Amino acid sequence: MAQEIAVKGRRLNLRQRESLVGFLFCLPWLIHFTLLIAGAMIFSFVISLSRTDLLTGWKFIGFQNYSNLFKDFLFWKSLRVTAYYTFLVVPLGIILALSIALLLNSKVVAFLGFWRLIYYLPSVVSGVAVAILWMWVLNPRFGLLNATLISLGVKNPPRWLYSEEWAIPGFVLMGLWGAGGAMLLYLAGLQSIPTHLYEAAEIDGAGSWAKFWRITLPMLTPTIFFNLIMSIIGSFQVFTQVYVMTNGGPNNATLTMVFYLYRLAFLEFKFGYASALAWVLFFIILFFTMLVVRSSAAWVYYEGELRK
Amino acid sequence: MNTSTLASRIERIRLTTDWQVVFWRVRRIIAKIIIHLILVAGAIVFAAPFVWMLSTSFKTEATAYKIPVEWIPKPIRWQNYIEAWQMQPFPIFYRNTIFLTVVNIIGIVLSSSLVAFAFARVRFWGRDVLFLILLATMMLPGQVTLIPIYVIWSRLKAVNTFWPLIIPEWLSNAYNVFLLRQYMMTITPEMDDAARIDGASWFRIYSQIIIPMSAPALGVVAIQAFSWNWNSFMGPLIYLNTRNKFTIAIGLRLFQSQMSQYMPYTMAMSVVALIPVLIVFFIAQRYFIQGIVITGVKG
Amino acid sequence: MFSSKLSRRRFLTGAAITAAGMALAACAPKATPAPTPAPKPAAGQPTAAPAQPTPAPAKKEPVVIREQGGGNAIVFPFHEKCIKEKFMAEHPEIKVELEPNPDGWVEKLLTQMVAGTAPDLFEAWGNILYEWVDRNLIFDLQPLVDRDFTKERIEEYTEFQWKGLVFKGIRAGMPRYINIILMYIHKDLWDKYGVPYPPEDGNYTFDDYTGWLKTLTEKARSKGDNNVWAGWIPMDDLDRFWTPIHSWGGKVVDEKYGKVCLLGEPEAQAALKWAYDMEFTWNYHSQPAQVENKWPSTSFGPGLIMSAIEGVGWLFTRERVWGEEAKIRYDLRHHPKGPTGKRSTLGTTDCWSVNKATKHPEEVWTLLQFLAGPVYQMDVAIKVNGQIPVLKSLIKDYPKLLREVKPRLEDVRLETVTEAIEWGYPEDGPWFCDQLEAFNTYLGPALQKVYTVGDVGPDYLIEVANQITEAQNDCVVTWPK
Repeated sequence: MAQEIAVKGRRLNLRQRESLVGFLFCLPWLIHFTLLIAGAMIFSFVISLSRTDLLTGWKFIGFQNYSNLFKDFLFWKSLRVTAYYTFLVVPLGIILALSIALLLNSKVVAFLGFWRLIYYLPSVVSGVAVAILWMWVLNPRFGLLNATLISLGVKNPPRWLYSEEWAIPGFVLMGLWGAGGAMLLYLAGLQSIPTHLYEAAEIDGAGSWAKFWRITLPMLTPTIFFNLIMSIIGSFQVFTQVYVMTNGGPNNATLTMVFYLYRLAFLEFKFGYASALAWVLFFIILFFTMLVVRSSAAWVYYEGELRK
Repeated sequence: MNTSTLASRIERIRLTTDWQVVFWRVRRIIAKIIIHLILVAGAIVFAAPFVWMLSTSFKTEATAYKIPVEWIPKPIRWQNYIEAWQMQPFPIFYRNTIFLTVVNIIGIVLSSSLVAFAFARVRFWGRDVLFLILLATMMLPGQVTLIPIYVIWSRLKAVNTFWPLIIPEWLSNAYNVFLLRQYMMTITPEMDDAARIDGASWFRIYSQIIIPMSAPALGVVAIQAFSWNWNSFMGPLIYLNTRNKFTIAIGLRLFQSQMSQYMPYTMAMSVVALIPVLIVFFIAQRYFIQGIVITGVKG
Repeated sequence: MFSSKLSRRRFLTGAAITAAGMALAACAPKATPAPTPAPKPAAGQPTAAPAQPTPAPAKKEPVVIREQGGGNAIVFPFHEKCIKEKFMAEHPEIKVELEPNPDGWVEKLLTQMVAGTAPDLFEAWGNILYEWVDRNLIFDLQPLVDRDFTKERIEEYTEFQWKGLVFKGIRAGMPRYINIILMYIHKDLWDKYGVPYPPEDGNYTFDDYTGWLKTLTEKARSKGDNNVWAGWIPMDDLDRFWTPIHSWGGKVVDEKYGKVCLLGEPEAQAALKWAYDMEFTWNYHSQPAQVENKWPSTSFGPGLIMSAIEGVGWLFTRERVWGEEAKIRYDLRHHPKGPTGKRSTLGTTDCWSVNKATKHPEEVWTLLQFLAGPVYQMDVAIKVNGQIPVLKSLIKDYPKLLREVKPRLEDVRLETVTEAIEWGYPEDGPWFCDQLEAFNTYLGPALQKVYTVGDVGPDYLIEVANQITEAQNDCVVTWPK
């Protein structure tokens, strides 16, 4: 590979040569994108402009699906449900994962590997077990959670998945419990912080608090950036818990956007309409991602800043 | 004015130091106890599912659903493991799962690190736009691209083979590229600058500088790739039809039915399925110890 | 490349199992490679399918047909064995390839339908078929039935299923088994609280039923037993909520066009009010939030509910969990009658359906007749699953046949099932013109609001009924009813 580049490189200037190298390194993804992803994305956009069940023909209807969407009360309901879930779970999840990672990176903790394993467990336990377990944890009458709340003196603990107000907070708790996956990211991120930075700070007499704010946190911002964007993308697309546990109920209290579009597509055969919903969701996620990306110059610190 | 002799001053310093040392030690111990208490409390919450799985895997169908949960089953029904194992060709499911997981981890680590390197380290025309497109591919819910992608594979006559599950992973995926790119960008550029001045090729910089220094992130990618591929359900469900191609995750779902969950069997096989993941994680996590990567990078 | 002959026999021979002897027996034939049907000349086969589409040349490769289904991990081996030994051995010209259908298979099947890779034969039921026939996905079996079935042969099938499998003018499948909703009672708990069992002749109404549940509840509470409920009806379930309504003489929707929702009518409202009171006013029925594992298959054994209006389709599963493992005594009784003496319950239309795009309709039809015929129904439906078979000649002996396999069922009044079918009170659920919109958009959420959350009374459904009727306005009835 290097040989080939060198051969071609003779005819190119340094800048062009670097561009070529970049494309060559990107090749796997470019192939993936052009052959599989792009086609599927374009296809879904085209059918979002059609009325189709993919089975018995289709009819081009312009942006009618989109305008119908804005008249659909279930669309607005699902948007509210999804946004509520996302705005709760994203910040809380990041704080929790970061805290666990910091705890489990500390040298004072005995049996570090054991604790890490425990905290990572929820991320790998099979979906069925998780769903059933959480049905029990959140059980209004016998559940572990309400038993704890009652022992803490709460008179009327929430009915969680059986009430319209508490169903989403219940899913948020469940989502937070999977923080072990992000913990792993932060653990890796923590390893990239050069120890000499801490040594230098110690010589300057910085306490552990100051070291956290001035070294650890800034050095972790690339990981936080990643975690933030992935959480936004992931929680706007929350689906599995709903599919397995509530089917969008009670009374649509957990009708998330992806669950709704799944139902429209696979149960109601409205593939065009479902695709329109998917594309609206796409632009919502894109909007929030762009907010983060745009703001990142102000708060994300890269040691190996991109050469412009 | 202080008239103490030097000796007494030293003595006094030594005393304060002793006192401070004791104070610090006590503080450290207390902090240590508090940290461990927090960890234990959290661990109860986080380990509950596994403990529950384990306990259910030894129950009868009748005791599995008792409320409140019986954590120690009575009677202990270890036969669940043997019976469940024999109901379906689990050895074949295991072989398929191991095959897919190993092949895909290699593919993911190789392809995603190559692409991430380009985005993190190489200046090329259209890089930032391309990167946004990469991010954007994750924003469209998979439910609407499932059918078109399936149709592509079915036209290629690849249904009921492993190819639709392997090739995309070998062509890198957006999540891992993004993850590795973020990590690679935290690596100080001094070393590859130096290497470039020495005339090292891009591929050498990738393979001999960036890859070794990205070990923790590659570890994360590998661990996550392992657990995702191991537990992956939707892809295998859609693309694989016959039992000789099935994976463990599908095998587990075969116990579910409209009439009965067969929870003890499901959980017994889930435990058997989970053990390799736990072993791999336990081994891999040791590489996340402060300092092992950074050695060699001067300050 | 991926095929391997990793021996399963090793695992089988090494194992000593007692309780799972059943499972073992099922696995054994897999270990010993089943005799692959030698391609014998297919001519002159004495089979149920008289028509050979094209005169087959003597030595022909068998036609491969793909069947999706076969049941869960426990049933599948038996299904596989039966097909191999009893069907493929008889029909060497047909090779059946089985594709199990774990959870999520409906989505998979639809994807396959779009891509044109769907199997020839698959499991289905009313809710799916009602929509799928609209999409031209389902093979109409009526012409084949007309060609091959005598009147007597048709009359072997129960009327509600035979009729219920016609969707929008298309015979969409052949019956798989019968499931009907009857009343289970937990005898140990009824004894504990000293309430006599409901009479076996079924001569009682929902008033009597309410009375028993009231006494059971009061006795339990007076003994300080707070985590047990006298009864259970899943009113938030779209397949079930209508049974009290029909029993009260009401309707969910007009039967001719399926466009006028009748839940606001007095009879329907009375039934809905009763069901609401049972859950929330009196709490004789458990609320969904009270018994988490809401299906009786999991809440009956641990003694959380004392009776349940629930399906009897898979009795061996019940017997295994309740009888053999939990060791409780339970029994079956008739569904109560409504105030006007009408009795109504759900009888399912679970079936096997054929892919419209199949290339081998005749071979699939041959298999279909086998599956809905006496051999398979006896070997798998009855003997493995304890299901109610689809053929009247077998239903007659259903109690005896089940007890031969599970003698403990001597204590369970299985005759209730045969009587229920004889009396003809199982029926199919209501169908709206646009069923999906009515159910998913309006009725499902509304039922949850009333019967899961419980923060509004059943009169909320009057308003919802109007909304549904309005929404059905645009629906075009595309088939003659």
